[in-house]
Amino acid sequence: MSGEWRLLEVEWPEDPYLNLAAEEAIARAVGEGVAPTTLRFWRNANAVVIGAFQCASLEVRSRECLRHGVKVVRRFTGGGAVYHDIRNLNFAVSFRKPSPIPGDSIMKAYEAVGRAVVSGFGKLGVEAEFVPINDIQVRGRKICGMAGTLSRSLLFVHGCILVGSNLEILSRVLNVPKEKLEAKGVGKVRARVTTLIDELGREVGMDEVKDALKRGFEEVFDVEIVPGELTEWERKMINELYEKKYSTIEWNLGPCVKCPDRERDLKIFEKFGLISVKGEL
Amino acid sequence: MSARRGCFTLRSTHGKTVRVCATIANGRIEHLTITGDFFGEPVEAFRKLADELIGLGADDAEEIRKKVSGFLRENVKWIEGISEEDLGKAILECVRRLSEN
Repeated sequence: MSGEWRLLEVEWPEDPYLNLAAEEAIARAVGEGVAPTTLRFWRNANAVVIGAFQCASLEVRSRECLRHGVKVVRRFTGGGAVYHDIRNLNFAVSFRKPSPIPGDSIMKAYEAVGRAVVSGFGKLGVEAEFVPINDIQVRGRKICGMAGTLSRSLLFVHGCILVGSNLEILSRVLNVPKEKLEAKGVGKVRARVTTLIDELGREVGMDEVKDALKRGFEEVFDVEIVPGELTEWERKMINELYEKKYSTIEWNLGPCVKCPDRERDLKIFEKFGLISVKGEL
Repeated sequence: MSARRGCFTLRSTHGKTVRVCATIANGRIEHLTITGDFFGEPVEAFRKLADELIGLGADDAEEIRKKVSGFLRENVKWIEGISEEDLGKAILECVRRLSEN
């Protein structure tokens, strides 16, 4: 056994902005050395989470989001837009550098964390494989996507597992570029994804999935993962990031803040109430 | 001459996508946005790069290329999923298409 990790199960499913603020705050705490290596499990009830380099207006179908009450939030890591509902499970691993990942490489981190998730799926009876750069697939269909970041003192990877997600809503609200679908060899989003429940052919509870994943991480990283709590430092950082970043429309719109379509986007999101309108616009 | 706006999406052989949207007016880049599902740090750098290109001649490929590579070298710590060449290529292709009659 090469050490102990903290397990956090803190979530605000109805407030994806708070969930993402917590995601960054926990990662920062680990990077700063004020919290130990941490595995977090959490869920959003109904949201699209776009990548740090994406624009909400390009990645989501706003009217479909309105129809289905889907909120839009931007995360602090790159990668593509994903749909979250309460039957998705998100995980996040924060390492302080130097990490157990060779060379603190982000690509090797996807692979190692991917191995842990694949091992967890195996315990449930689902045979999955890590597919570079950052996907986990079952029979050629995506079941989990990961994203991550690397800074001076932090190596961070998080991912979203489709446990029993509503794939119809997923395919309606995401506006996936045709170039991406063509590269994946499919014409529609629905055709390239699957869920744990579909693969198992039975219902599976979140606790069962979390337990399998925890054991997968313990096995692959040779650690013991023990339940823990948020620290006071993290609670303060969550509030600060929520106020200054994740609840602002400027952050959530993405880099398109100076786009000619910005006014239209603002109106759409204000009208639909999808994104909090706070802070400097 | 009226402004022309459009986007160009490039799927990189490194596995990710970069989408460049631009507005060209009077032969110059009036606005440009770089988005995509790639990874990199710092996040703000790619928006700053886009701002740096504003005002350049849409047909001045050499200057655009030089600006992009210089900016990436000095400001971007790492980039994965697309290459620096992909980013330059997507910007140039987007601008070129909008400049065509």
